[in-house]
Amino acid sequence: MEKTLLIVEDDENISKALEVRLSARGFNVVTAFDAIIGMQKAVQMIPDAIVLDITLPGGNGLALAQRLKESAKTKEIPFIFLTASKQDGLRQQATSLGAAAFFEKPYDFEYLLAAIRAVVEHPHARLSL
Amino acid sequence: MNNPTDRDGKLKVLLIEDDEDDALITRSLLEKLSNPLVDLEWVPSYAEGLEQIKSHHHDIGLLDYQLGSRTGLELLQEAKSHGLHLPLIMLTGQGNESLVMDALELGAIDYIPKRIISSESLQRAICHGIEKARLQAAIAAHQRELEKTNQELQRKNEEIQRFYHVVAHELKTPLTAASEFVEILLEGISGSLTATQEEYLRLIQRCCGHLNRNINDLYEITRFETGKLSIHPQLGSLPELIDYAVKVFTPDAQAKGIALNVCVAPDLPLLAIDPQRIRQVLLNLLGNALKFTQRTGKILVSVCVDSSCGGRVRVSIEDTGIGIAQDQLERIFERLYQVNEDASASASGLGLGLFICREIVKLHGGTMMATSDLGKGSIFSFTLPYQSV
Repeated sequence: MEKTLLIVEDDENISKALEVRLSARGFNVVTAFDAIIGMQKAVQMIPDAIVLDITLPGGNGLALAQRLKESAKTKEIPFIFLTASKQDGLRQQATSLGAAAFFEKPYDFEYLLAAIRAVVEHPHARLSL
Repeated sequence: MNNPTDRDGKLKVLLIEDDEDDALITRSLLEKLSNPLVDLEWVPSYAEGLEQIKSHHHDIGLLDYQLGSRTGLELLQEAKSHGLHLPLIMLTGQGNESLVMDALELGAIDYIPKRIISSESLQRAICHGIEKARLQAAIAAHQRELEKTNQELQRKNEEIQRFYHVVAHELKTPLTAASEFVEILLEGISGSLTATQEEYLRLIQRCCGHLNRNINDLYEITRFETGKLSIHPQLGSLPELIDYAVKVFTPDAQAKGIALNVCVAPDLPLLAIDPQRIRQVLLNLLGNALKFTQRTGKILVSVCVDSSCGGRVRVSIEDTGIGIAQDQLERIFERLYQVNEDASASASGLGLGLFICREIVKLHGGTMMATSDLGKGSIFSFTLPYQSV
């Protein structure tokens, strides 16, 4: 069965690229460009995994991850962080929020794909952050 | 700051003394002084003493130990807690000289045992006290200035860090998108490509890779300069990291017909290293070796326990490349230094790679060095201590 991914990424070009490549690999891809729409779509669609940018309008990705964990409907959805920020401590914050994986931009798509496949099949998998 | 002597040229001295006879003796001794001329004000109690200190009307004070039911030490303490800075000379009676250290610690500027009090001892203590207080005030002013400058520098450091965060983010986001769309085209998702189109796209792909490395180097350099770069050592296996770095460069080495060999001494100890950072060093050194070695050349990565320097492992990367002239060799680890290459060699990079490598090795407690024979090849090596975890 086709797995659904939610991409919450404010850069429309990166979002489009992910949509094209992940769709080509057989995923049903839904996109959101800010944290608020991201939360709404997560609640509505209950995707199999969420790929989450950290610097986002409408509240950052870390705050969104926190809200996802707090909501009964979304708390089981695995999420993967994707960020161009090199701010200190982001990885640790991501780990403590229960992120399944963490990628810096520019990311290696094959690794990202492998991480997505792993968490979609095993929602509680935690890849090395 | 008040300068009470300006009013009539006399030094304003406050005497806090509960014994009237002692006060009279002190007054008569001070009246004999011609230099400095003294204008003495006497108060007999703790409370009046504190009041006068607060008034800032004096240049210096003489403070008796016993003040009724209270002591001069308590008064020193209270004056200090109010941030009052009148220099005070403690007058100690028979039997309480041992309190001198306490008095000095509480901020007394000097002390005179009453049994040896004289015009000379008073003159000396007053003159020294005034000078000492002046110097202390000057030091305190310098300290405040330094603290202010330091705070300013910290603020600027943080501003620089913030700026580079923004720069890194703003450069990496479009770079990621560009790389992704190149990949999409190369994967054929949007249609098939001609061989030339594919070749050009691979070129763009490599340029994106270079750009990303340069952005990372620029970012790292700010972390060094603002003292933010740190390592997170853990017990790790150096051969595994070398194996990874060699695998990364094997396709490029094969394409250039370069023999890339590894020689690792058996029974290497585990090292306390930051694997990510040491991998970065290895990739940088190996990348350089490959860049500056011509076709059919050789590169050897070797690891051994350094017998000349106990408790260290030495990693060497030896190539048969173009080599580096002696005068340039001394400067290659400098920040932003670029080896002055001839037109046939391809120059790339920001001149930050080796500087960053050396700093990473230093953070591990190791050293990095290079030797070279122009036209014959170079050896870059670094040591890592293994006794500390």
